Amino acid sequence: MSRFGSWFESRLPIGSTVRKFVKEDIPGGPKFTYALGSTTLLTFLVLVVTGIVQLFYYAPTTASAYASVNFLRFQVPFGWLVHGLHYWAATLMIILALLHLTQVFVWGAFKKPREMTWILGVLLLLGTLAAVFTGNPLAWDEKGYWAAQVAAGIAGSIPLIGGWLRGVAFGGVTPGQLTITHFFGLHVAIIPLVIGAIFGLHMVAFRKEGAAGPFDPAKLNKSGAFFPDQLLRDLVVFAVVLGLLIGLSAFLGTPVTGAADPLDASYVARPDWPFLFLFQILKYLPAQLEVLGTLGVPLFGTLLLLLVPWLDRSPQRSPAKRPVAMVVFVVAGAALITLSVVGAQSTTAAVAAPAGAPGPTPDSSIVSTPPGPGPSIASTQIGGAEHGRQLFVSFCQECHGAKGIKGVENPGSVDGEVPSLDPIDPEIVGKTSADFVAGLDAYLQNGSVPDAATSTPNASPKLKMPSFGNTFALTQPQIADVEAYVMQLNGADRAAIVRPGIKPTTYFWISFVLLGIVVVGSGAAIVSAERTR
Amino acid sequence: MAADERPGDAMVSRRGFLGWAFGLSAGVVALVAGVPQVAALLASPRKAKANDFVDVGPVADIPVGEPTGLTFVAESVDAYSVQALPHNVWALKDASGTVTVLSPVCTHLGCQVAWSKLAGHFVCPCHNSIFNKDGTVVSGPAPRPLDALPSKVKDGVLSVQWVDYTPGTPTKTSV
Repeated sequence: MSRFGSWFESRLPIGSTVRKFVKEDIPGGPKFTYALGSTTLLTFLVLVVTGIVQLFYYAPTTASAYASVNFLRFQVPFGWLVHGLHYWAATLMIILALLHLTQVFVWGAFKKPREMTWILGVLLLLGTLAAVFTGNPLAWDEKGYWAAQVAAGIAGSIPLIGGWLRGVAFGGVTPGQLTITHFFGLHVAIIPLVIGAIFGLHMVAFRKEGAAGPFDPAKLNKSGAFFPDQLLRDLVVFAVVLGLLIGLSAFLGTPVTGAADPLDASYVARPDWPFLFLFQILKYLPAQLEVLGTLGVPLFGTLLLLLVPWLDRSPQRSPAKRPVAMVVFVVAGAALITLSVVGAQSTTAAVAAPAGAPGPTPDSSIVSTPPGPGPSIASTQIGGAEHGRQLFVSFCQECHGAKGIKGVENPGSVDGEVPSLDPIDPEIVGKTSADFVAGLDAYLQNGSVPDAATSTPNASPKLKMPSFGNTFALTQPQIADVEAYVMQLNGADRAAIVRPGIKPTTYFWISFVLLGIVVVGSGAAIVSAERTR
Repeated sequence: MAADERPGDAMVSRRGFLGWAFGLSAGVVALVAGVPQVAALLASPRKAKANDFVDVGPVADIPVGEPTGLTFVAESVDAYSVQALPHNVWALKDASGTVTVLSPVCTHLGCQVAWSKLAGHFVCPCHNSIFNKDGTVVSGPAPRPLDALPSKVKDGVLSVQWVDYTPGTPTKTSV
């Protein structure tokens, strides 16, 4: 060590501390399966880093949250990646944590004297779920808004403390400004700090006894060191996971569900996937037993998980010798997965059309306050094409035809039929994406009357385009959604990335190659270490 | 065991007493600093004042026998932000001309119900609660009928007061 190095080390012993931490024997030798815990941690770190970057763009207000998220992911260089990594890492962290929990359960690694490691791990899973739950509404899009609305309803229906709890968590009766700021504070400050603290304790408890190793004592004679043997494997697994996250961000992106719309009765609210099983249970319960689903099942499940070390007390670790525990675990896991899948696929009983029921003239909606002048709210919002598709079926299809391909006959008009929307009149498309939006918006807001056919001078066209915006037949966010869908029909993306930094797919292939080199190199090192052992 | 403690000493040792006293003092300091922080976090916001009645249109425009969507904008206070928020309500006029105004907020968990002409029912998209046109429950998890909102007719114009009711309970209570 250089003179400066030893001077430094004797005053701030970083090197020896790190060496002490990484110099740990792995009973039974290093394994790729041991990387589950460390990869969960690294995924959490991805969330922390991308979360901090997002703080530089995100605005936690009902008026700006959705627009600020869209600005980040479509206008900020690499914003698509920052937001995409955050979105997909959250999903993956839950999956990794569940796999880690499964592994520890099946291998009996939670047993005496590692009960505290298990309990702290369960608390980490709960903390992660809380982070997903509070993060979801922050974008203030349709998905997040309605998830918050249902959650507020659930909180409020809890006996005795419900009203108070809802007030504290949501800052009011219905989701609003204080909901965003409360969830923001929880999501970016309290929950990460709590997760970090519990993780520290999880590590203290883990290092006290070290890894449990294989349950088969015969396999314990192998050994290896945390560094480099296990860390190399962790690196390989994390490189693969990171490549996966970049790939998901580049090829799938993040969902655009449209701006939060409190008036919307057509958006089918579904909770985020980790909570789908609870959603599905709610549907089976009669009203008077509802609290069983909203409070009973989550509390009972948590208690059950926390008590696992005392429910399965035999010193046997091998799953073959713990048949009851294995059967219970498999049944519970299968039930959770089944309920989640059924919940994800469920649709509503009947397709409900909102105010101003479908039809050429939305006359069943009466408006007291017309919208103000200036560009419409809809034209400034990035709508969700998928929700737009559903609205199109209810409101537009009757005249413009399925997917807007061929309009119905319109006697008395110059064209003789309602204009098709795919392909749409090039004049509406214009030169830029903004032209296209503005062109569509004028028709949707104000409606229009087609030119009368010259052959029948006194007749007026049978059908006219109704005004959807000025009459409130559709809300502004709904109009933005329909605009996004009609653009999509014509091959234009309302949610196109304007400034990607590096094109998402290009960036994926660059990282694919670089991460591939890391994986191959580390893999070679692992193989050669195994040979010399 | 500390050096100044003797085995079998029935009295609290000096070191032990100091430990307790320190813990207690630190606790008092922490409480003085911490209680207001927790109180600020847990404070349930004040109950909002009742909304005003808002004119939503002439009664004559509402068809008889079929729920009609009425949209109006009412100023509402959300903590410090005062916003003109759109509200959507359902008006049902019976043969005698009496109008009942139903809140669109599902009494189950607060999603927006909508009238389905096709089904002839109100349908909630979240958990499939279904209501008759008068708001009574047909099926699903909703614990009570749709809530009727306070409304009045003056000079042929219907006006409605927006009220938030607690979802999820069998009895109708405003929040």
